[in-house]
Amino acid sequence: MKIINANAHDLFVDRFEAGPGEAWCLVGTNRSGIDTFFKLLSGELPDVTAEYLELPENTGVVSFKRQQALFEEELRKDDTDYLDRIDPGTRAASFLNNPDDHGDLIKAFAMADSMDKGYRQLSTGQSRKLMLLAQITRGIESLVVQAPYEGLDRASCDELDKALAVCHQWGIQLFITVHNQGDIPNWCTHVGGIAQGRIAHAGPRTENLDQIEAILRTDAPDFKASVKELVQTGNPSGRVGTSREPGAELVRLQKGSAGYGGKPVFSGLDLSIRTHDHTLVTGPNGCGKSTLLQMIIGDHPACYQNDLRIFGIQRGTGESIWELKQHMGIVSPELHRSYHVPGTTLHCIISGLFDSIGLYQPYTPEDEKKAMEWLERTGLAHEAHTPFRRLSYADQRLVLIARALIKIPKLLILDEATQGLDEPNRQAVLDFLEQVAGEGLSTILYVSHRGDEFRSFFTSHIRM
Amino acid sequence: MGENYFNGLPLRLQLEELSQCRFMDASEFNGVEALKGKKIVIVGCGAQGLHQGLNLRDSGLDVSYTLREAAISEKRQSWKNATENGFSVGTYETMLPGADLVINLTPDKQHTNVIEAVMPLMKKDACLSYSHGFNIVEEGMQIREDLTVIMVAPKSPGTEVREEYKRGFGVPTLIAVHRENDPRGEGFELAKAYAAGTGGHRAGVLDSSFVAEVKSDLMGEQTILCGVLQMGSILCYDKMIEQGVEAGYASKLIQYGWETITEALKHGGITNMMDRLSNPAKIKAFDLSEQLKEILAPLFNKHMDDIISGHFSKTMMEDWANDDVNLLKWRAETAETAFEKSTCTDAEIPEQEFFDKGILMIAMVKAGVELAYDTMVASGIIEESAYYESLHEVPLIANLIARKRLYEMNVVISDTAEYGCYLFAHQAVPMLEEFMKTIDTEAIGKGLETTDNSVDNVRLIQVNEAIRSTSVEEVGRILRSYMSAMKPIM
Repeated sequence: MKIINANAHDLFVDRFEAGPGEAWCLVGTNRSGIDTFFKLLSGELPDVTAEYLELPENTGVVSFKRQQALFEEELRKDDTDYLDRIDPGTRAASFLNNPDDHGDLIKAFAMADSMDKGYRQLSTGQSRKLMLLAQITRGIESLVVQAPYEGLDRASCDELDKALAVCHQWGIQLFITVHNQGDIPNWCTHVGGIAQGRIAHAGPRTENLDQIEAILRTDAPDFKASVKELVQTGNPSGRVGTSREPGAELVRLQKGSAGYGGKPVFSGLDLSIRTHDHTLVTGPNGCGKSTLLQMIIGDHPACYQNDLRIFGIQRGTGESIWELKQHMGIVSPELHRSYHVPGTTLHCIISGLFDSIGLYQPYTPEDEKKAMEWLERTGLAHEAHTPFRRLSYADQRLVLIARALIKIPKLLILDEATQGLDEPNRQAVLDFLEQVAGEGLSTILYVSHRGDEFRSFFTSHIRM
Repeated sequence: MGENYFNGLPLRLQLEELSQCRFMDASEFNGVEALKGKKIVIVGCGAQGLHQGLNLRDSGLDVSYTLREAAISEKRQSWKNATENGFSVGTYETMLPGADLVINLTPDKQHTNVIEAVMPLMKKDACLSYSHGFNIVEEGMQIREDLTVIMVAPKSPGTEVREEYKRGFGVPTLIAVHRENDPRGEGFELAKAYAAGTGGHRAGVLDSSFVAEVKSDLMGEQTILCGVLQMGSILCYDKMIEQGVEAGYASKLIQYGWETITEALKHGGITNMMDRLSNPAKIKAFDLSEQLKEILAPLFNKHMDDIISGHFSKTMMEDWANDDVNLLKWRAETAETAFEKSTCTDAEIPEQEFFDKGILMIAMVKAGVELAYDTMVASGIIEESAYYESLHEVPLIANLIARKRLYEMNVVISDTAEYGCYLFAHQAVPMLEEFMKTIDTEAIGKGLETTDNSVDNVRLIQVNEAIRSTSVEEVGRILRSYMSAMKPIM
């Protein structure tokens, strides 16, 4: 493939060439133009002008956008209402082309045990791998993957790495994009950096790696918030006046257990979170971290079957879910996936004041002002009236983080919250959380796979 | 079987019941207060039963389920649905005597059996809730005098009831109190609290009656919802084949076309659906729909009349008693239609093309919605009720056809809707024989051939005016504003 003097949106490519069988890792921050370059390689950019344009041929594409589209398509096909049983989604194997002929590949992806599961029963990592398998089994010659390692634990990253290395060995031309230093894989033969809408340093890995890593270290974050400024602009808390006396009980779970379809995910778990107990939860994919958080949020039925107290209220004793949620700020992969309702970016942030997905209640001019301030802090003030769904995945994430923060809740529940963010933004979000913890504005409950997010402000660490 | 309840009422009460429908203000609700601490037992745990129960529980209410003994001992799906979601489940004998509110969410056709089994076990002065009034109104079920009888009917499938609740919203809901069974005058408060527990109060609640719900629901489902789409699918497909349109393409245009065009209907009513067409195509669709309305108006009237008089339910129940001979025969015939047996092309049809090449389908939807709505209103049903039972629900059935075509669509809708659907389509298809002879591929399959988009200004203004100024459009604009994401009040 070869591109000379191509121009589109926020990107200008003077020259980019990749030979067959090469394995490329493209590196850049979220707003560097790398998403546009990704779309160009995927053949999803109709309005590109170029002196010479020869794109990868017979390409398979795996992206956040397509993953979301697939999720929504699966929801559309949900037959629960007509079958009167919970429809788990399309069987995994039916996404693949001749799965019976690809036994070895499926094994290499460690997916053999998941082929009979329904789409909605797959974990984040499994659904990512399924999308890759769906493409590879079509007999593609090149594969373009956006941020393949996001949301995957160390072991799953290693498995995925092995799988991608297999693709490389089979002669498939590979392009992946990454936004974090630690994500540049060993198997790639070539690297390319994208900065300020230009290709910077593209070529063999060994010659270019150092300069490319420097891009991620030196680019400025889009997320700029400081607790000091929050306090200066007035009352930092949102609608809900809450006392945050230290030591007050927020969450108490005794001998907790939860599972799906009779299979336990965890059991015998004791958990106690008091105000200012900033808690880090880690563990491999599928160990029940998200289930535990969903139980605390009230989105998993196990919250009614356990000895669980939230904000001092025993669950299942007449409390409404909304009474509890008004003291929570939440970012999770489930929330992001579910936020497929119409509405502007501004409305999305305001919806954090009402704990709703979409906006269904009148809001005050002060609410709007507060939301605009948060938009400024995410560098998205100019997108206030853009439909939320039209933002890039990373920008959507920043907005959802702002949505969770807008009311400075008693309990901030962040499950893989920085997924999709580049290195500078991730660090900026964590720096801000550190300040929130330092000032005692919220108590933070945090799930992450990334070692560099295990900051010192966490006072306890639950390994599941 | 009892006597038809509606027919036993004096005219004065018939009129009062039929015309009872009031859009409630949000300030009329006091949350779930009236049900706090009460024991709620839901009979049946299908999609509707399960998802309503999940919402009620998340609203702080005490919810459990009761199933027939066989469903429990054989661990049937309904038992799994309830237990996997952490609800307690028991037999009628163990659960019902302690219940303050019993919610019957079993399929309509089982109501007589279910209620006969449930009623003797209910404690004195408890409340029984329905989500559809057929059993009370058409079958004339007599409920014990001490029991309060209410209806809470979310106007969406169960999964949507749940999804909207989780978003912090709800779905439009109809509530009613059976005038014969409100011995302590508490029915309305209980119904409001139940509706609030499912989130319905956020999206708009209609204060209606059992009679208005049943008569409008039957009319909507057998005419515009299922009948017109069944009739239209058969006629449009056969016409395209006759005119040489490729079969795979014709098949796809029909199967997914209803869903695509009614998506536009859902968001912005008939006006928006028509606005998706070019001006010349819009005028064509308008003219076709006027002709359709003229031909089909007597059929809509007949259906409404048969529903009001009880003739429809009487003949249908005779078929129930006769092992569903008619229903099953007509169902089998549906499986044999050319459309049902066709296969869709793999080629993609762009969204706009469904409009451009489906002018006749749009005309049928427009004519069907307007006729169903106007006929209901002319029979004394209030506008808001007529809207929910016509335009509002068309996209649901269109979505079913997109998923499953006609045969499966008919199997999954209620038997009552299915029976009425066949009655309608069997009459409508021959009535349109002459009309269909005048149709070519401009109206269905290929779209207008002209590249000239010019129209006469005066004619366009007249057509636009006629599309926009109908009652269903005026009422729809208001009701949709309550259902859509938000209405800023500042």
